[in-house]
Amino acid sequence: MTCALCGHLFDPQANAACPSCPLHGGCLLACCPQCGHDTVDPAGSALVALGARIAARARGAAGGAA
Amino acid sequence: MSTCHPPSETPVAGDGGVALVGHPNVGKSVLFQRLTGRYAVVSNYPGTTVQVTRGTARQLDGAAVIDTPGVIAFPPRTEDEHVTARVLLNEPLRAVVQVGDAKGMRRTLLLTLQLAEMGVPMVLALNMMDEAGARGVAVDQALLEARLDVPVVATVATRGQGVDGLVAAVRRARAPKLRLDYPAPVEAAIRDAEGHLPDAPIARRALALLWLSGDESAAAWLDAHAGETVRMELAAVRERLTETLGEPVSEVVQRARLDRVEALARDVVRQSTGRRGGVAATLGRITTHRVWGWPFLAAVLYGMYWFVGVFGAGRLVGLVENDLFGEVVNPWVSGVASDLLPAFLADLLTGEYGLWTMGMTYALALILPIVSTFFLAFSVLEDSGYLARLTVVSNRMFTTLGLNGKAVLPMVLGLGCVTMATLTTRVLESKRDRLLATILLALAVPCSAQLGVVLGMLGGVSFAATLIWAGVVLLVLLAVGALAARLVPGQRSTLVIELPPLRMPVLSNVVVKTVARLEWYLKEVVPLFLAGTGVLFLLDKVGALPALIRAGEPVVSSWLGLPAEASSAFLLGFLRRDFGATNLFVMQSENLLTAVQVVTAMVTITLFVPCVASVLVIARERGARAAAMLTAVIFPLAFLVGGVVERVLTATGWGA
Repeated sequence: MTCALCGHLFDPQANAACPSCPLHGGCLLACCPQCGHDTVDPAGSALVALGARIAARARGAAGGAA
Repeated sequence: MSTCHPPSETPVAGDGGVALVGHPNVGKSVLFQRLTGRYAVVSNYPGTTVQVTRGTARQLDGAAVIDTPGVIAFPPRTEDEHVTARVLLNEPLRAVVQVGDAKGMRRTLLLTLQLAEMGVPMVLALNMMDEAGARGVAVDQALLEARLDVPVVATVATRGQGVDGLVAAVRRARAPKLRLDYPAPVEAAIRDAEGHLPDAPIARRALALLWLSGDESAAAWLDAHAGETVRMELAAVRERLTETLGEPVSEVVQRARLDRVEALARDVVRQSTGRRGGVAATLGRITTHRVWGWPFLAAVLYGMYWFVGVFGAGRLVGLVENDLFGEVVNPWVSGVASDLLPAFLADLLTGEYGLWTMGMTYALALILPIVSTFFLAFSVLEDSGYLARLTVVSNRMFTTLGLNGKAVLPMVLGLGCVTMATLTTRVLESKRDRLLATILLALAVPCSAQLGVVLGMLGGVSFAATLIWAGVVLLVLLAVGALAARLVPGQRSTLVIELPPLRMPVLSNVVVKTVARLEWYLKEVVPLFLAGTGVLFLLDKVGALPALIRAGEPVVSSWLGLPAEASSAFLLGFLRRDFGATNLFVMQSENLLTAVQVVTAMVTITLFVPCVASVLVIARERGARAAAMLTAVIFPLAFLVGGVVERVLTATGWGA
C-alpha cells in the first residue's frame, strides 16, 4: 500500500513496528516504515471484505442478467 | 560547500561479496532474487535477531550477494540499521549496490552520499523507474553518474528490467571520488580523528564522520579494532567538536548533506507538468505557501466543521439517536429487558448507566455518525495528498519557535492516533526531543475520534466557537513547545519529506479506508465504552458516584463554571477523551450547557491525556516515571487552562 503522508510504497504485512507495539498487535493499523504514519490496512478489514463480496456478487448478477 | 576531491584513502576492491543496501521497501529483495535465483539462505545476523538473506550470483562468477535490512540513514538507530552498518564495516565486499526509489530521489540521494563517502566500490540502482515515469519524474542518469562518480542503472526489479545492466555495472564498480566538505570545525575534527583511526573496510573519513556523529556501530567496531588510548583520544576529539558547535555533530553533518542533495536533485531530477499536473502543481504550491497555506488550512477546517459538525453531529445524529434509537430501538430493548430479565440485570442493561442505553447508544448512535463523517473527510485529505502538505505548513510554525523540525511529524500523525504517534517519536535523536514531542502529543494534539466529537459539539454552537477552541489549543501547544524548546536549546534538525502528488481523491480508496477505519474504531471503543459504563453503573450502585460528583464540584462547577453533572464526563475522560466528550455532547443536546460552557468543556477535555492506551505506550516508550509525571502535570494544566478560558469568555461577554 502507499503511505498517504509520504507516498512511500510498503507492504503492510511486513510492518516492523508491530512487534514493538504493546497494544496494536494484530490490529488493522499498518505503520509506514518511512514516516510512521498509521494507516488502516483495508486488507485486514472484515467489513471491507464483506463489501467487496457483495459488490462482486452484484456485478456477477448484473452480468448474468445482461 | 561541496566539491569533488579524491577521498583520503581508497579501499581496495577485492573478491568479496555484493551487498544490497537501501531504504525499506524499495525492491531490494526482488532484485536479490533476480540476481541470485531461487536458492537463498536466511539466517540471523550474528549476535542479533535480525534476518539477513544470502545467496550467490552466477552472473557475477558466483559472488556472494547479501540482502541487508532496510536502512533509513546513518548513523543507524534501529537494530536493523545497525546490522546493515555492521555488514558495511565487517564484511569483505567487492561492491555495494544501493537500491534506491526513483520516485523519492532526495531521500535516495541522501543515502547515496553517505555510501559514496564510505569509499567502497558502489553502484546506484534506481528502482521503480516505471512508477517514477508514471508520476512524471525523470532522472538525468548520465549527469547523475558524472556528479556522483558512481555507475547509475535504471531498474524495474518486478519485471527484471535493467538487471543485466546492473550486473555489468557491478563488474565496473569502483570507489567513488565524491567528497563533501563540511564546516571548518567538523573538517578539523575529521582530520584529527583520521590521525588516530586504524585501517578500516570503509574510508577513514567516513569512519571518522560516523564516530563523530555518535554512531554505535562505529563505536563497537573501534572497541574491537582500536586500543584504549586511541579510543580515549577519539572521544576527546568528539567532545571538543560538540562543545565548539553547540549542537549535535550529526545535525551539522546532516545539514551539509541535505544542501548537497538539494543541489544535486535540482540538476538531475525533472518533474514534468502536463495540463492536469499544472493545475495540481499550482494548487500544491498554494497549500504549502508560507502565506496562502494558512487561509487554505482555514478553509479546510471550515469545510470539516460544516461536514462533521453541522451535517454529521447535527443532521445524522438527530436521525440515528433521536429518531432511530430514541423512538424505536431503545424503547424496544428496554421493554424486552424488563420483561425477560431480573430487575438488577435490566437496570444494568437499560438503566441510567445501562450497557445498552448508555454504552452502546453512545458508541453507535452518537459516535458512529460523527466519526463516520470525520473519517470520510480525513480519508479525502489523506488520499488527495493534503495531509503531507499540512506537515510542511506546520513545520514552518514549529521551526519558527525553535522547535525540532522532525518533531512536527509525530504531531501531524497524532491527528490520526496519538498512541501510534507516540511510537513514532522514536525517529527523534535525543531523549529530550522524544520527551518533548511526547508531552506535546499527550497534551494538545487531539486524535481523530476526539476531533470528530469536538467538531460535532462545536458545530452545535458556531464556527467562531470552533476557532476559539482551535486557537486556545494551538496557543497551549505553542506555549508549552516554546518553553520546552528554550529549556532544550540548539536541538533543531531538518525535516525531509517527499511530498506525494496532490490529486483528486479516488472514491473507492476513500470509501474503503473509511469503512476499515470505522471497523477499527468500533472494535477499539465499544469494549472501552462498555467498561466505562460498567464502572459508572457500579459507582452509582454503591453510592460513590454522587460523592465523586460532589468531590468534583469545586473544580468542575466553581472553577470551570460547568454543571456538577459534568464531573462524570471528566471521570470518563480519564479513560478516553472522546468518551468523556460524548458524555458532554449528550449534556449539550439536552440543553444543559451554554456556548461558553461548551467551549470551556471542549478545551479542558482536549488537553486531557488522550486515553489509557496512550498512557501505557508513554510508560513503555519513556518509562513509568515519565508517564506518571506527564499525567500529574497534564490534568491540572487542562483544568487550569479551561478555567482561564471560561473567565475570559465570560468577561468579554462572548456567547451571551
